[in-house]
Amino acid sequence: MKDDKKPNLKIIGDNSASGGRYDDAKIIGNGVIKGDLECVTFKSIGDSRLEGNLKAGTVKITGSIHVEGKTTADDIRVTGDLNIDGDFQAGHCHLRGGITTKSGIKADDLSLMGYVTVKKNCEAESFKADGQIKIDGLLTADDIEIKTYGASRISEIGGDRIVIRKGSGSSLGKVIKLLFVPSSWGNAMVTVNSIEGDDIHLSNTRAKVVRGNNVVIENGCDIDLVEYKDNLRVNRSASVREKKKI
Amino acid sequence: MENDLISKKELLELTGISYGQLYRWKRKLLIPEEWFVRKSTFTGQETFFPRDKILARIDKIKNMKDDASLDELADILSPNPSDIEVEKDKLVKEKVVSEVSMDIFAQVLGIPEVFDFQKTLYVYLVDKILSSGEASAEEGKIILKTLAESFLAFEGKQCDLLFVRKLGVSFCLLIEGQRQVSLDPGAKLVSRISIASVVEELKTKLSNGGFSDGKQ
Repeated sequence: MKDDKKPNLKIIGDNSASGGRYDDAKIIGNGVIKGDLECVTFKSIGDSRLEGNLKAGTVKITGSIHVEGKTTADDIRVTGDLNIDGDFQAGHCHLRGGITTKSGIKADDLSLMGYVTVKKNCEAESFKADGQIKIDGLLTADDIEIKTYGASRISEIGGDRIVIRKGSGSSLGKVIKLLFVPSSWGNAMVTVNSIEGDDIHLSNTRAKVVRGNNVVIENGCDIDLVEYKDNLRVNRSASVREKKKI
Repeated sequence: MENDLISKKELLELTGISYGQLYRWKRKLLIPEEWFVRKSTFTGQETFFPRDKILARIDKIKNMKDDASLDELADILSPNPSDIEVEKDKLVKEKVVSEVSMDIFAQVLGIPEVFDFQKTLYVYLVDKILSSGEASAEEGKIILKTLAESFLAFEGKQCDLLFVRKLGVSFCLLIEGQRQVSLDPGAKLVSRISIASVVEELKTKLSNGGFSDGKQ
């Protein structure tokens, strides 16, 4: 099937097309695709809407896109707004801007900068995020690194190495703040019900339970209960109500 | 029910695995989502697992992970069919299924040259229930028909095969896994088979028997 030469799709200006299978699909302007789209590369510059599922090798979006179905891609890069109603599955995922999904995310590696809203679970091998993060389900990855730039809320976190810190005041941080994070800057906290991992390093985190082997609690933390196996280090300015070695 | 559950903490202590491993296996679907049971305790929400199942599963993963990659393991353990294809004669010769079950299969669904995993599973299930002596050859056909017609509708979900007899009349049902079923007092539940565990058993059998790479 791979050898079949498929046609290309190009939408320029304010226009719509039906879905189907293409080699290259490109939208410049304001495009609407009605139906499922399957292609090798998908590129969109501008504001587009896909009324169906998207399945592509590489996806590059500058501007905003709304996918009303599922999205599957090997490699996806977005600068702007990504809105997905169905499940989102990807290999490499590089997102700058805003991403909102009404379902879950499954990826190999996920690099995010901006604001993220996920209604279900978010699973990856590596998860790196700078910005404001809202995950209603479980966030799980081998390697989790979060720099929070606003009030983030995650229901549960589980993994191998988990690091949460406050976004730095560097010039890059200021740019992110300026571009992506609107009002809640003053309150750079991550609120989580439970965090479970092998190596955990937290700052600016409010959690009910933290369970791990090696746990470091830095300043700005407010933790109800820490259960640890090997080591626990708590910064003097952090608040931990109960510590238990197991 | 309480005694059949094990808390996550106790599980890690007992098996010596880490949180990282547990979550990795969950992501790879080596541990089904349904086994994560949430309950409220005095420290808030905690996760529990069905004790026997999870201990057996973790034992299995620990034993097999040296020989197979996590993805291969996921394929063996998942309730979804794998892409194995087997020749008809080989299934009988390697004693995966009996000749009798094969005949029944031929009468109901015809005999294909190669058996894909789906068909292998059907004939294996029928063989299992026949060799346990719980059903007759005629009843085996009913089971086979039910499977062929409805099994695919359960795609990806755990599902159980129930075989019921009442006053000499027998019928079979497929229901979503682990759901409770009540029968009228005159009916007798002859057999209840969890298809997911049979799939796992069959996959292990096939991969050990060298079926996947076509060796004799």
